[in-house]
Amino acid sequence: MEQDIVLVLLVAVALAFDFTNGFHDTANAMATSIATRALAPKVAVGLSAILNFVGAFVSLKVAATIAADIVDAAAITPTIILAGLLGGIFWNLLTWRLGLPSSSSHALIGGIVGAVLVAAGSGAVFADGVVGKVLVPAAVAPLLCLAAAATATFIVYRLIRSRPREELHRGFRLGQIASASLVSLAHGTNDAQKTMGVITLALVSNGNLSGAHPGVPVWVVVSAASAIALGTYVGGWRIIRTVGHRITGLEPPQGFAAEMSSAATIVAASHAGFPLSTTHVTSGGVMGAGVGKRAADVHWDVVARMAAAWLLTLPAAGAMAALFYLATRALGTDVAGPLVVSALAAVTAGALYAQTQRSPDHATAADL
Amino acid sequence: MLATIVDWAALWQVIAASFVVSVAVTTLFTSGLVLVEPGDRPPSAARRALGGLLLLASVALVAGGLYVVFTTK
Repeated sequence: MEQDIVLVLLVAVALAFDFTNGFHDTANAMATSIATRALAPKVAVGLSAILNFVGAFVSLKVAATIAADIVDAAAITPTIILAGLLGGIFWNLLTWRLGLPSSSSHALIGGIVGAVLVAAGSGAVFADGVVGKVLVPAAVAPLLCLAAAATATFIVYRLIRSRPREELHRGFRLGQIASASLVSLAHGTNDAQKTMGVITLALVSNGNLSGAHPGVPVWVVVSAASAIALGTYVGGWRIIRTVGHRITGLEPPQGFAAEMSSAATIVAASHAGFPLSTTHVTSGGVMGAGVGKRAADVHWDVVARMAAAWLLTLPAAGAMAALFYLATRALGTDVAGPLVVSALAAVTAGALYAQTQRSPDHATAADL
Repeated sequence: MLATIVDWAALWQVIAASFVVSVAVTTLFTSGLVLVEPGDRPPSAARRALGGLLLLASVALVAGGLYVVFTTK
């Protein structure tokens, strides 16, 4: 009974993470379209929310990877996963506060691994899965997207060099509506599955599902799809501003090339079951679009700041999750600890959100 | 060690597919747009038809890719 209460709490926190994932990652799909005026900000996030919802139903391979290939479900408890989720949510909120497009996926995986390491030891972490399914694809994907977007952008500007730009930009803006929609669909396909994977992992660890080949229950798919769509609709305007305006100045042909490269990379990786960071991929695409037109246009200082956040995400989310687990254990891992720690975390997150809304550099749709 | 941990076959497929699709779709779309849009003078019917075909080809490539991804296990 007590573990069931913790499980319900965990599902609520997992869906809250999914909400912050959509909120944090709206920039992935729509920043370039908003930056080039292909779509109005509110229309962009509305369209993105619908496509994220649809994308969540497309494939379950990434969910299977999270549920079975990262940590040993038999050695962990819902309380450990709860601590991992709280670590991931806090890192997401902190990087959102700083306007940094860090990876929600790595925050989630780092959080889970950090909590499991402290609670159950290194034997409960599948190092092969973490390296082979997470770290290597994480390193390869942004570089791949950068190279593809740079090549595509270079070709585009060779093809249009003697043409009047304004007429072509109109066509590219239309193309961007399609390419941004593809990125949103791809984002729902890859990212919503991560929350599904975590909830499935919790259901296995609590004995509600078999550990051998756990299927993802329909209610998990629907609730994860809804949470990420809602978070997307609310819109993380601060990160949209960074990706759309601060990495490089974007023209519609660059936005189109960046989005097509991002969508192709994310969809292909989701098909192979790699839970990669859609944030890293789309940021790589935007950098590639800058490099392909003229490398000097890329603001490398912003890129360096983002890269630092990327490198920090796994260990920082892991450390936060470990602290959450230790606090929970100190208060009692039955029901009291998870309840008190989750309540304190919710109050702190609310305060951070409210403080950010009042700060002078707060961004809204009207600022973009 | 990495050679055994990483599913390189799957990773290379992801790399090849995403690079080829990204560059091909962008190139087809741009070429079609350049042919269809009137520049200094209106394009001929043949030019418009070829441009339309290239634009359609870019859409077909995306649709085909999605079909393959969403229908194969």
